[in-house]
Amino acid sequence: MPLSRLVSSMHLALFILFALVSVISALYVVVAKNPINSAIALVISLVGVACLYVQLEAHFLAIIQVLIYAGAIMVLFLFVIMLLNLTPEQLGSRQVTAGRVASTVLVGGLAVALVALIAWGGVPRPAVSGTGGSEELTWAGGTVAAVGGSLFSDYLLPFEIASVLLLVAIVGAVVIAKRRS
Amino acid sequence: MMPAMEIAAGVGRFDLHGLTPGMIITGFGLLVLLLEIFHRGRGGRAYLGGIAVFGLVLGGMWAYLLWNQRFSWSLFRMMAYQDGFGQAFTAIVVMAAILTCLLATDYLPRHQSDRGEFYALILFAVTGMILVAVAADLVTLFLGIETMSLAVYVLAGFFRHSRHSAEASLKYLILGALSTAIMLYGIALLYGVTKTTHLASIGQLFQESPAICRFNAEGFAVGLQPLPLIGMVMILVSMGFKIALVPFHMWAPDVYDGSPTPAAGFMATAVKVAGFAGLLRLLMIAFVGWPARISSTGWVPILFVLALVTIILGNAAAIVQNKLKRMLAYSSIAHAGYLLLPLIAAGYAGHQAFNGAVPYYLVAYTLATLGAFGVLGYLEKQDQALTYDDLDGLGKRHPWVAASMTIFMISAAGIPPTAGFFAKFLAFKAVIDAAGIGQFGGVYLVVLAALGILASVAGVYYYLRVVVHMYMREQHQQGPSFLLGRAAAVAIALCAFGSVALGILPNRLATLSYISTIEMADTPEGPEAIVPAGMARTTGGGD
Repeated sequence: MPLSRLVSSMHLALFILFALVSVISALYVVVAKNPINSAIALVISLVGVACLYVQLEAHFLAIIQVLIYAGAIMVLFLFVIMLLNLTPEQLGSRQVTAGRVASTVLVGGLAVALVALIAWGGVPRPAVSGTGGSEELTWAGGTVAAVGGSLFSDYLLPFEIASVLLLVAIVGAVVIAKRRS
Repeated sequence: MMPAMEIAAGVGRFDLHGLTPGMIITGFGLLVLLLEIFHRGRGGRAYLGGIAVFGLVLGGMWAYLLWNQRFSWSLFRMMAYQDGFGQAFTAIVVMAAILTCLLATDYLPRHQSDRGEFYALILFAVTGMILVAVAADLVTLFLGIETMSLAVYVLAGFFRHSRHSAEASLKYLILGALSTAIMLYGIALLYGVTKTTHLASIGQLFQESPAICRFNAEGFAVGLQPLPLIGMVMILVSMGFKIALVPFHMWAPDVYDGSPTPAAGFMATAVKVAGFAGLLRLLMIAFVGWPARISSTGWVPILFVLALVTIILGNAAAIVQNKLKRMLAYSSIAHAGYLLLPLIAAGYAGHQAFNGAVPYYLVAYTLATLGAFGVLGYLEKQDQALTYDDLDGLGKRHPWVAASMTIFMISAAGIPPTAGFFAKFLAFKAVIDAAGIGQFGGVYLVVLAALGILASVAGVYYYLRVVVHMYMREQHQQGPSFLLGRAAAVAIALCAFGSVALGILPNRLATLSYISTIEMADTPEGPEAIVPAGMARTTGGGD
């Protein structure tokens, strides 16, 4: 068997594995009784999606996905869940209500629409083929080197502004939270 | 992959040169933060305000020098412009920030909130505003708006001991985050269909691309495709929130009411100035093209309706207010409506309809509004909203303060001989002129101008009510017994002087505003054309 066939079939096998992991854990997020279990399952689902990003050569996005979503944001989720510390009675019943049916139908419809849109190519094509500079970078994909090169050339100014933005956010948080002296 | 050498070639001397005002102001913001850490002893922190003012003056002077070079170029690979428009709006924002800092040195210590972070946050907010004013790319524009907004959310909640202030901050933060999300959606949709975030490149596509415009049988563009239309409308909605246009204005009265008064003045003026700078850039560079402007799906009809509702409802709501800060908030909403008029005129009749009304109006509005907020800040007692009755007899107790307040009210109402009169005159003149230049439907513009003038006459009622209370009512309450701080007095005097001087001698500023607006409209479009000969960077994009 030629090497390329082996690699592509491994690619497929890994894709199926990661896709199953993220879909099953996403389902568990919805059906789990304990909110903590839900949150942990969401972490697993997000990590699974990060693995899919790696397969798509979007390494940077994968790292960011783990760091920010699976890391920082989920810690916040857990923090809030533990802070509220709800008992099963407070969480309410799990009966089927009109609102739940409606939301399921709505979300299901959205999913069907998305799949149909992707399958039958209803997504409009971009008006131009890039404006020169960033074209090659787009094709280089989301590897760390490509993102870094883009950040420090075309997007140098926004990158620097982001540092001021974060500084303002930190100073602001301290100003609002610090005890009165 | 990018070779290292090219990455290093990303910044040129001229890139940094054009952004020097912003860098000076950021640097002084950091300096103020550092000095705050090393502050010891029981002395006040007014000197930090002084340092902030010094930095702002330096930045403003540098902006003026850059403006005088009469020379436009693009910075950081088409991320920002150095042009007269950007520097003019930088100067207006800096002026508002200087006045705010001066007022704050007097106001903060009296409210047990004398902390240096206030000045640092003002300086950082100004940095964000400058970036909005010079933005040449949606990414820069967005980051500038966010830097400004984050700083202003914190300024709204600067009084930690006050429930009011915390409520104002939270309300502003949540609604502001929502408007940010809407803007990001809009940008994403536009990027999806244009594959670029450069304003000028988007502008080119808005003129000729079949993916953006709908063409009729003769090949004339008659409207926009749905996707770019939705993107454009979402961005306009978000900008409308920042400048408080009527359907998106609900936050403004509550937030101004709860915020520390100088911060409220800063929000009502500087944030609005930056919002209009960003809006002008978007409308004149990105959403250009005949269909975007004039068809039933373009932005001129949208702004037309927004301006009409904003002017009428803003004035009507201001009339029924009894608290002064809320009255000023609704009056600032109405002013945003008047400020839309020149944009509608320019959209309708093209660049020749520009008469420099927007920067002039913003200067006049900033002086009158910040001055009025300054006076309210002086009269205000601890955590208690001022009503008209609190002004009774002010003319006898504090003749100079009352005289200044009268000038601010007259200027805001648009009565000669004040700056406000000429501002309104220019704004309405732009619309009437455009009705003459444009090809069809000019009668709508005449109706808009007529309704606007009627509404502004109705607005005179609540401005003069302030004057009536100050001079024609007997005092039955004890006013402030302390003296107005020296810095705040200087700020209020400057506002009053400016309002009168610009009303008597409007020529110079009107010319400057005209030139700066025209310079933006004439900025060469397209990524390459804008780099002047001899300044071109040694390497192209990422090849």
